[in-house]
This record gives sequence, C-alpha cells and structure tokens, in this order.
Amino acid sequence: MNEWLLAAVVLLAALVPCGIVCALRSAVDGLVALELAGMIDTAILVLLSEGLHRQPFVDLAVVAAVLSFAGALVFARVLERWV
Amino acid sequence: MSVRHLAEYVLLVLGTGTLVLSAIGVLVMRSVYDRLHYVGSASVGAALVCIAVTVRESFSLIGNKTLLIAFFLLVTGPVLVHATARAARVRERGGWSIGDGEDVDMAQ
Repeated sequence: MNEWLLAAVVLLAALVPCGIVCALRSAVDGLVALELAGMIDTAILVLLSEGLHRQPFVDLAVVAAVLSFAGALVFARVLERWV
Repeated sequence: MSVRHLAEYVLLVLGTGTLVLSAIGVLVMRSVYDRLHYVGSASVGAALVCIAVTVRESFSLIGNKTLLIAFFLLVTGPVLVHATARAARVRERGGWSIGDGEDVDMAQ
C-alpha cells in the first residue's frame, strides 16, 4: 500500500461522520454533510487513480465533482421551496 | 528525498488532514450555519489533495485534470455554502429578505 492509497483509506473513514449527520440530523444538516461527502468522494477518486496507477480513472473524479455540485444545488433549491 | 517529493507529501497530508478535520467539525457543530463553515474548508482540502497529484505528475493528462478539479472545487465550494445557507434561512424564516424584527447594520 502506497501513501496515496493510505490517504484514500483515511478519507473513507472521514465519510462516517457525514453519514451519521445525514442519518440523525435534519434535512438541511444532511445536505451540508452530503456536500462535504461529495468533496471527500472526489478526493478519494483522485487518490485511487494515482495510487492504483490507473490514470484514466481520474475522469471519474471529474464527473463526481461536477455531479455532486449540481446535485447539491438541486437539493438546496428543493429544500428551500418544496420540502 | 527531493523537494518535489517533499512538496507532494506536505500537500497530501495537509489536504487529507483538512478533510478529516472538516468531517469531524460537521459532526460536532450544533447548528447548520456552524456546519457550513466546514464545507468551505473541505473544498480547500480537496483542492490540496488534487494539487499534490499535480505536483507528482506535472502537467500531463492526469496532472491537468487534477488541476481542473482543484480549480472547480475552489470555485464551487463558496457557491454551495451560499446556496445552502440561503435554503436554511428560507426554511427557518420563510424568506431571504431581512425581517421586521431583525436588526441588521448594513453599513458594517
């Protein structure tokens, strides 16, 4: 295991607090945790791509960054208006 | 160990540490507005991780893409924070504008 994979494992553990907040707190608190989890996910995918020497996999991180941003904006607007 | 390796390790540790501390902060804080501060710091942490990969790979295919991700995260992080704070305020008070009972000094 190299240092990139080690950092990815550490960041995987950092997803646990986000899951706890999503499960136990209010909807807006869960949205905050979801946004944080999206950023952590993006970093994990970058680290896995580097650690496993699979450079094309970094495209997944690009897609995850864009989609997590768009999804969080949609969630924020839905929570603001309808829920 | 060259300066380049040292730089990538420092950036990797700083980025990972910032993300972990942000996750702990989101768990520990009490209100949604307190939690939102940690989303901004998390965008910096994720960008640091991406820049660490850029330093390692230089301006290659993966290096350019990780630099793009870092730039994207740094730009969109504050946008997310603002949109979520707006949603929280609208849910809490029913509107975005200043209410009758609120004392907000706009000069400051």
